[in-house]
Amino acid sequence: MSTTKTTDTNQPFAGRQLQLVTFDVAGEEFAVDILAVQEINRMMELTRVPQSPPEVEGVINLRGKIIPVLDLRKKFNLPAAAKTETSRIVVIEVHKRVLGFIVDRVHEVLRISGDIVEPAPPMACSIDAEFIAGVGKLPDRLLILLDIDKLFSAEAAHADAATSKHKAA
Amino acid sequence: MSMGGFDAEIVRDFLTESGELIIQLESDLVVLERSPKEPAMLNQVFRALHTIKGSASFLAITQLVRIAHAAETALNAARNGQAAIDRTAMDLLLEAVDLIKSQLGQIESGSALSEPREALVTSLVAMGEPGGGHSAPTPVAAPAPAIAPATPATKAPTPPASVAGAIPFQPLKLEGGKADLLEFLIADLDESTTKVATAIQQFAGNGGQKPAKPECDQLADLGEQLVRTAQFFDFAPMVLLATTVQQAGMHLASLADESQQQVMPRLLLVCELLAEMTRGVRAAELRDPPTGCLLENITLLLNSSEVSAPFQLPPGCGLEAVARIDGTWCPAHTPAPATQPTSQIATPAASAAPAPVAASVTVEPTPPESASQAGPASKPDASGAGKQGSGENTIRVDVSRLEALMNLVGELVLQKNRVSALTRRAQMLECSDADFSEAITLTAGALDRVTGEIQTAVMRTRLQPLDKLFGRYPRLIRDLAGKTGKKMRLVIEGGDTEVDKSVIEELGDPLVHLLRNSADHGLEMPEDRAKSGKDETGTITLRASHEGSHVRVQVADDGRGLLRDRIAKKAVERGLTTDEKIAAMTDREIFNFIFEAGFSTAEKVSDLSGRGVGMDVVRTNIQKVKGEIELSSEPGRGTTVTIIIPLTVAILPAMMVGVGREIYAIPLTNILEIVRPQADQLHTIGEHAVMRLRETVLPLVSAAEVMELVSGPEMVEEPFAVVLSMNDRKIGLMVSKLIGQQEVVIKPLDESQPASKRAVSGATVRDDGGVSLIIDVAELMRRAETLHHASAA
Repeated sequence: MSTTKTTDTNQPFAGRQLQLVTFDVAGEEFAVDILAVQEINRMMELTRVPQSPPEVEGVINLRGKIIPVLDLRKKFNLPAAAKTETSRIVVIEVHKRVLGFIVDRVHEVLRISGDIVEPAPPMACSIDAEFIAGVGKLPDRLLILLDIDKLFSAEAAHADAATSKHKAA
Repeated sequence: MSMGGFDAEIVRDFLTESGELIIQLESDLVVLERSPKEPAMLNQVFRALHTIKGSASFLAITQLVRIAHAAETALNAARNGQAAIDRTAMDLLLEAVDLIKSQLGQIESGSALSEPREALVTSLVAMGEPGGGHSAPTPVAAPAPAIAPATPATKAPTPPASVAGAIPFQPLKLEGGKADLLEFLIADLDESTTKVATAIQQFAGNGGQKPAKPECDQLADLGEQLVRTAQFFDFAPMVLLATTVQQAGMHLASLADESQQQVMPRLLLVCELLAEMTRGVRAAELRDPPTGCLLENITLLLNSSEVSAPFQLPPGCGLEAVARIDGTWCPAHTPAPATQPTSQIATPAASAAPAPVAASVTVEPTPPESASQAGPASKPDASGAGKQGSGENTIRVDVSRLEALMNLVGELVLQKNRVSALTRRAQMLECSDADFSEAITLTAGALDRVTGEIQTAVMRTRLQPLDKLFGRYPRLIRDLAGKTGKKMRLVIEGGDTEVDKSVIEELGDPLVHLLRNSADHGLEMPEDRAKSGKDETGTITLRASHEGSHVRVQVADDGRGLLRDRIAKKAVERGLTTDEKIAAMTDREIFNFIFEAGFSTAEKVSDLSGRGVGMDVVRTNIQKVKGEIELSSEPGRGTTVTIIIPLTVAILPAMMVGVGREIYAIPLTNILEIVRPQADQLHTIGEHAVMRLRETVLPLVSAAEVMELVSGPEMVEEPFAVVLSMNDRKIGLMVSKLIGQQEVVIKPLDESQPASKRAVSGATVRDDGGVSLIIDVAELMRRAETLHHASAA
């Protein structure tokens, strides 16, 4: 899932086993491929950087490396909310770039069959459909699989149009 | 190109080594031009070229070997006094060096190698061919090795009858690429063997005196060259012999007399064997004369051990005896005592000239000066000694590894800071156990010290002498002198000043700009200089020195200097200032206009045109490494540009300040003072806040505003003004609180974000683990200025 898969077919992940990390943002449950996730941290103090894109909440010190942290609520145009005890920073690596994003709560690591994932219906939820790799139909609920490539390459492109290498991917 | 067969590592090593040599070579050549007869310099140049050629031939880089060989031929002739290094010759040599340089670049990028210009090769080789009738000194046609008893090698493809009977051999087979080089290689081999033999004969004929260290080092050097050449033939016995020579060079000086007497004749025999192999190669045979216990015995002796009784040589014994005792092959007509080789001298010229000491130096048929290269000359040996020494004491390390180490040390510093902070807290808690609290304090102190030392040590690994950079400039000045028709010399001072590698890299281009400006626009034509009573030859001085944690680099010329009025006029023309303001400006302020982008490009005919070309680029580059640049000038006396840069760019002494709830780091170098302005010091001009500080008025900038912290109606209180200065401009930055000084480790911010227009140059991790942004003073200044321009307009 960390690689861009075409979502032309009805079942973009058919025949594959998916191992996902799931989390909540604004009452909806999202998931990303576990391989992209480096670590999950408790909230820490963010340092704001002037003149950065609005969804960039600030930077943190990840064992000596300074990485940007994004607020997924802002990215998805969801209402802002205060950070809570359960808020976490999910650190991922995408296009050789390490960054974090804030989620309301991390749920679990989940193994599902790719057969139950369907492409996203365009109007399914409040977030832009292009960031969604698919929707997983679990017996009791739906899971939105994020396409982090698109999600964060778009962020990079937005932040700096010159870094076309991010865009190209 | 036939690099395919070689390990990428070997090729890379070759490129690094040759790259360094070629830079050295370039500056040496320029020195050589000034004193063309200096044998030490000639030898040094020759040696560098020879090493490059040797490695290149090992890698079978035909094109490079070809040009290197041609240049070497020319230099050899100069060494022998058969050719003079005049301007034309130097142009040829420099062209050859340029070509080698570009070839090295081509190898690196994997593109096809350019062939040397045919005329260049011919002219260079022609320098090596004397007009007179005496022997051809080109190594290719070099005569037989010194102590070779037989007829010249060229005419002696078969070995002389030997006591030990026929020498076993296998045919010499070389791959296509290498076969082309055979001729060069044989010449090499011939030459090196001869030199080694000469050197050893001199030792042996020294009447029991110990050979001096430099001479031995030179022998080791020769041995090393020989090993290289031998490796090319991929012929183990030859490599073994060559290695023995190298070893001998390294150990001879420290041997007891007794061992010396035992080892010298044996070394002479080694030379014989090498000479025989060389003859073999010439006949396309890899001859393997039996060496018996010779090499073992030499190794024993060199390690200051005794050889067993049957192998003890009687004093003054000849080669034949040595060969018999050690059971080796022996040349047919062994010249009796080693000290008097009665070998047939190969060239008429040499036989006519009284050859120095060891009678038969046929490669150098000239008087002592140039013959010194194989003998006891001290100067070339000194460099040889240095090289040898550094060869043993240094290793090459990939820069990325050093950088990784540097990062880790940065981490360590941060953790140490945290431990210190925790210790302070622990003390405040007033731990009931006094011993425990003291132990913690001591440990923290020790950690602090050790970390500091590690940090310094690691930082030092990245330091390099500025000579690495300065070495390129004599050539630049020479070329500029040629182009401009001016007479000039470059004086370099303090080239041994060491700075961080990254600083060296950033300094390169600006210095070229500055030197070019000085040469092009600063210095006058010789006749003009003479008219104004100056020395016709202009002097450009490049000076470096340490200044605390900074390095000062100066480029000074004794040219015409900057003309205040012209610059002022142009500044007004370009709308940078007004006539009224000009009158009140100091010279320095006016000169600073030439750092404005594109300042002087408008009018190309004036004296100062070009003075500013690229000056804005220069300043930008210097500021990138947190440096500053200053300019002073006196009409008619010259211009001096001073660059002040920090020793390292990775760690920065900073003042930590609080703004609202955030903490920022400000580079300490830019802070002049910190004041708490009283109400009567604060004013506004137009819409802009200013502060009166003693006699001056400073523009004020709110840190909260710059850092975009004021989002709502809440005001951030900022009672302190940090007075910042850069390039003679001052502003006051208002902050909420002062926290203290700290050495901060600079971390890059995420690169994919736009870094250009934000007043942040990087980030750092505080001792409490949080992240602080480092304020970019240069950008702050720019902003303050645009504000002022806007308000002035």
